[in-house]
Amino acid sequence: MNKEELLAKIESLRTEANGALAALDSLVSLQEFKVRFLGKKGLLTDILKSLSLLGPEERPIVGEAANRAKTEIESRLESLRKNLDQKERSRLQSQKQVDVSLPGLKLPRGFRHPLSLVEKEIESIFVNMGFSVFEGPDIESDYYNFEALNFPADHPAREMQDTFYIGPRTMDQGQRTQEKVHGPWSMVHGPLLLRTHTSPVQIRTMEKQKPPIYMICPGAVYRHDDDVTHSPMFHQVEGLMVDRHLTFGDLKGVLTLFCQTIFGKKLKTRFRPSFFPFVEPGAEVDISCVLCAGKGCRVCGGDGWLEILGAGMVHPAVLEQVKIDPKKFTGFAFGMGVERIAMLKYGIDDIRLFYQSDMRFLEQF
Amino acid sequence: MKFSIDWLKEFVPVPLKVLELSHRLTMQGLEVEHIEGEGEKAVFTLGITPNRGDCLSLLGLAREVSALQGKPLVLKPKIPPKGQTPIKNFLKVSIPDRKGCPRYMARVVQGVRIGPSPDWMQKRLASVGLKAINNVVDCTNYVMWELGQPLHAFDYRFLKEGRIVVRPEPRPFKFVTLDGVERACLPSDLFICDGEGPVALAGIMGGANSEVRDDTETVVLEAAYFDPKRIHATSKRLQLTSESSRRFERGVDPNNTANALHRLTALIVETAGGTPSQDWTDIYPKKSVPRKMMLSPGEVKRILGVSLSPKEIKKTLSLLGLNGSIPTFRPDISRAIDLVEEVARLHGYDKIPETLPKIGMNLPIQPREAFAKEITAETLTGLGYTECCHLSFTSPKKTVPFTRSLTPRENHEESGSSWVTLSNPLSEEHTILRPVLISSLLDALAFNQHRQRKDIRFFELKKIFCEGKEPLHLGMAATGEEWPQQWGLKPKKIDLFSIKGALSQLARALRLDGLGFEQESFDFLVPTASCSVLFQGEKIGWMGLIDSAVLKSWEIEGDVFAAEIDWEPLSLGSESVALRYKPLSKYPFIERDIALVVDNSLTVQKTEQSIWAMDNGWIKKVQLFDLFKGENLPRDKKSLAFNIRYASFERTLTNEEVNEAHQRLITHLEREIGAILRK
Ligand SMILES: [Zn+2]
Repeated sequence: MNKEELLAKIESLRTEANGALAALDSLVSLQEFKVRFLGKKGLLTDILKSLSLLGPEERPIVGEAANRAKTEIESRLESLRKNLDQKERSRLQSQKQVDVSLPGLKLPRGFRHPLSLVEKEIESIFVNMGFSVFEGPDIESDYYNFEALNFPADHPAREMQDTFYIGPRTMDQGQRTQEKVHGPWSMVHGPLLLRTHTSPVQIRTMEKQKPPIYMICPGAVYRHDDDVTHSPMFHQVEGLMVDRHLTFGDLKGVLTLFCQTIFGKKLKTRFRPSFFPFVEPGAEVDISCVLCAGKGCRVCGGDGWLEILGAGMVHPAVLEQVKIDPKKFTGFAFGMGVERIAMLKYGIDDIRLFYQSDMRFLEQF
Repeated sequence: MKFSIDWLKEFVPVPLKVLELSHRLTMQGLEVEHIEGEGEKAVFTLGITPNRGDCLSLLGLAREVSALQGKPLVLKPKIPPKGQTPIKNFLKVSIPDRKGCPRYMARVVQGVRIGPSPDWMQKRLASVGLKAINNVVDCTNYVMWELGQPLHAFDYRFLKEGRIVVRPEPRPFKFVTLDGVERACLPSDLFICDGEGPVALAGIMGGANSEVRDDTETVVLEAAYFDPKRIHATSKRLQLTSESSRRFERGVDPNNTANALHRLTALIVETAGGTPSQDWTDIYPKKSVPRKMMLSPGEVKRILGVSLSPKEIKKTLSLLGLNGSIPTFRPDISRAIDLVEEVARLHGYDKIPETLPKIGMNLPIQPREAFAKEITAETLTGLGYTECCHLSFTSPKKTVPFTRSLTPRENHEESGSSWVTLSNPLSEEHTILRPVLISSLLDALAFNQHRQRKDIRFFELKKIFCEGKEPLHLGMAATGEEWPQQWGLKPKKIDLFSIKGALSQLARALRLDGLGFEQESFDFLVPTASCSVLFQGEKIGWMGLIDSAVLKSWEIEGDVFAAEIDWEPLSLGSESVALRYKPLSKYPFIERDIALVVDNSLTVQKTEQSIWAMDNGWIKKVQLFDLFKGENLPRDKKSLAFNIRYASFERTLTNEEVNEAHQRLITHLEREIGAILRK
């Protein structure tokens, strides 16, 4: 074949290709076209193979024409491919059309109890300040619940905390039962009862550990009481710091920091004298009302303050009881009701809601 | 303790406005709980803490109100009114029980005319919540309110032999108090007796046999000081509290007795007429004297963290008459720390600056099970179980269905013997502490079902009380649908495997190898769907479908699946796990499915064990993915389909090798468990 024939052939190939391109309507036919015209055994390759038959001066001319045709076909092919690709994607996408307003998959989920959430929050604040967490038994002896805590025997201070006692009423029968149920230690430490506060854990800790002691003790406590604001069982977090150089000013500082962490930085605290046998000076801690910010409302009884904590410097008699020298060490203790804090935090008005397991209540937390 | 401003003003000037006074009292430790009325007529209700018996009187409150204005209270002693006949002509007093009664004073008034007390007195008594009775009794109450000294008036006619003897009764004894109630008294109780027997329960309440009546003409007035502990013990045991016992048990001032008697005598003469005896009886052999007590400024600084000068401290303490010695009206002050509190109280808690302690670095410790507790709660809430917190109390009625088959057989006779019983329960529903959690969980299910809730899943991780121990139990209960009704997901009922799956997931979350489940029947579970739960070979609890008879007594409808386990072994097990990483395989795996027809009685566990027995180290996973019975299968057969994963850590396995191994497995299963390959 000579130069002219080849050029004509290229031209006719080009025309044919353009015609065929126009008819392509799928990625499959596009692939077939590519093989037929541009493949290793394709028509254009055939032409390029014939180049060797030409003379050296003719070869570049024909070669260039062939390449031009190839480039043209390739570029048209590519744009067609893009076009078809796009069409194909649109088709697939239209199949996947959804109504995004349909509800998402609902897997069942449970809820943590609000008291757990609040107790966790209280604990983490104190743990972050360096307090350890200790626990103790709900069934306690008179010694740990009262006597070691400087509650004088036969004094009305004991009636501040109405107590549940364990076992039958009569002494003889009672002792036998207690021996059987609670082992010999009960005989040493007086009648058994349900702890009225978690302070016994403080005594148990101080018996085992020398200062410095920085601890909190969360847990269930029991009082012989039942109405809208009192439950016969509720939860407390009590705390204790014993070290050299701790003062009433430190008590104020630590408890204010706690209150502001759990209820907000703007909150104010108020410390006023009160009485708990195991502390002296004793204090009641009020916070500015979380609902009315101290202006006065139904919840705070109009004076803008809410009672939230009991506290005080550990009574020297308590330290002496656990053989810590009150001349060398001072300390402070505090206690709060978890329910009380949860009620203020979440605006809950009936303490019984915590123990009824009403899902309408629990699923709000 | 109630008081009105105008009454208080008879003891101390009160220039403060009502609200200001209320605030100052509260900040000084005398919490104002309630105010009624305005101005002079305002009546305050104070919450007096049990250590401050001295504040159960206008006199005591006047001391505080005076101190808060920066002035100590000055009082003139009462002048005894004059009389005629010597007391010895009427009365002979003796005190065999000196410890119980350190001081006894008495005076006689002859010729009183009993009638209503004057208007002004009745109004004042009413304002502080005291009922008017007659002029003599009202006078005793009035003076008690003023001076804090409980007082009593006897009708002289009924004091046999004209004698008063303060003593216990040697034998248990029934005594009718003036409220008409018969009281069971013990030899530890203290009585005021006449020549024959008790006429008053000392310090608590007079007897019906000697009270002042309409025709009483001669009265014996008593002002005494009794041992606070004795009064408290008797009053508590008899559950009999009076305004008198409230004051005695908190400690009255033994040196204020005479003042009170003289004030009472004068007031009775004024309101009921009559003539007092010329003198009075006063038996007070061991006089209480103010105790010396010093407070160093260093101690104040050490406890409070503020520096106060010796002068400031002295001045503060003298406002309450506490400088150098402690007057007998403050029995609550027994050591230096009590004085520190008085200083802090009057200085003002609000004036003590807040500081933060400077402490050494330390690592806070937490209870050992705290971490596992949190994992348990978070895992179960993630699986749809809601956390409960129930009261620790329950009743035998709610407990018996569960403990009957949980207590060892030999203890059946007295299955309640290991329960913790309250001696003073609040109600029949709350007489024991929970020995199981399941009854409370059923309460919770019932509560919600009765409020139209059908799909419920609860868990509780709490102490139970049994045989002197308080172990943590995990209880779970579930009923209804597995997931909320919704589009795109077929409904599925909660079944035994929901709970089993949750327990297994929990074990996984606690890094434990898993739990065992063994068929076992319990009274309260449907026997065909009940099992015990095991951990490391030890039985730790049960799981199953609650028997319908049990559900009926809770009025619960539908199937309830539940479990209760001793949780502490899981926690302990979890703690001892040292997590170690296993190297990852570099080579791909090959999976083969296998469907076997086996006897109905053959458990899946046994089948899986048989598969694993054939392992040459290549089987990495065996997963049951289908189970069915019926259709064209014989009645006693079932079909189990497993997906088995083969892989090696050394090299890539070829298809041929795996085919060969899989074929060997099939042959093995056919031979060992009589499985037939289902095509
Ligand atoms: Zn408010």
